[in-house]
Amino acid sequence: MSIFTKAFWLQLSSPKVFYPIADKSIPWLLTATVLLLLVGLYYAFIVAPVDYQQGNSYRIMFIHVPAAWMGMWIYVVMCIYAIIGLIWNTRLSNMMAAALAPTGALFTFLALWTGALWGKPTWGAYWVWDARLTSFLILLFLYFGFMSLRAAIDDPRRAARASALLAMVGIVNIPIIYFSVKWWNTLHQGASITLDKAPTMAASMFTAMMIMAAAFLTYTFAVAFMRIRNEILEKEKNSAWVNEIVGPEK
Amino acid sequence: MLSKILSHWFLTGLPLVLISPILGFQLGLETESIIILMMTLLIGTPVLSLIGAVGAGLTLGVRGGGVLLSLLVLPLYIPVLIFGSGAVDAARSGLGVEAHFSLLGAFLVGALLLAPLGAAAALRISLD
Repeated sequence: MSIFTKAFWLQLSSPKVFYPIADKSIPWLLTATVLLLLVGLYYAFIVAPVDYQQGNSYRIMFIHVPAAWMGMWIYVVMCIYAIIGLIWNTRLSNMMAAALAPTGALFTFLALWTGALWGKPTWGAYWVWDARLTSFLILLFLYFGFMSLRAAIDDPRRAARASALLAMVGIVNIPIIYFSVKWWNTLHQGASITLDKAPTMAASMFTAMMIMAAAFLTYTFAVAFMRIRNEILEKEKNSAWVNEIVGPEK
Repeated sequence: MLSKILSHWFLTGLPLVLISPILGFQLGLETESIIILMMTLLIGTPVLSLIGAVGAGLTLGVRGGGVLLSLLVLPLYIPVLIFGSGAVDAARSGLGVEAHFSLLGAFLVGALLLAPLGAAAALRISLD
């Protein structure tokens, strides 16, 4: 089937069609992650110059910034999937939202953690109640809330719909995080990379950051597909095609 | 939905507003700060009731609903608490409180508009 037809894209929402695609792309995504990480870390540690103000401590940025991007981006994607699931009741989009949440929480935690470690040498404190930091902490709790609400409700359809509503309520936080450094001139610095200006950092630093972000992106898809693979097998365990893959249930 | 939330606020938020001057005097706040405190509570506590209603709707009849409710709702309370206490702080140090009040007011208007809809949707999900 041609990829230019609507039917091709619609059939992807069927777990049976999506399963082999996820299954086959996982090794590729994992390989890409490892390669990108190697290149990205090489750039981050060896090619990128020492910062004239912060010395070598700034290098944690190459984890911190991409992790923060991913934490916010995954939330938006998760919310979009959850809304699609809420409107059209598609099982796969609910599974996708559930599969993305733990990775999003992981990256949000990583961003907060590396931020704390970075804050100590540069600001002199692990944590301050700065607008950016606080709104990011709220993001972490929104992920926790999303996951625990989903886990606490037994009926999968109700769990999906309730957590989708929570995700929608929480989406107001995303623009707050993004603009927090502009609205409140507190400790956290403004963005060095924006869409409308050239980045205010050395080109090799920028390259390293982009490669790390790409590595995190492929990692996200790899683990999300791994989770969704399990989820599909679990949910569809009574169907014929799953029995063909894993053998009949004992 | 809105009337339910309003009655909840009358039972929880309003007493706090009324009792705050007494507590304020005990803690040695000046009269001006106490007025500011009362006003922030007057604007802020309805927001808490409104957000809480959505959380309560979502956790209706869920195992361990109480703990879950606090996990869902408390993070969303943080901004309101920050700006509420920020206003009193600003008033005490002689700075303008207008910005804090504008933001609290914006929270209230936004929550008034969206929270009843959200809570109704949450109840619908919980009941079917």
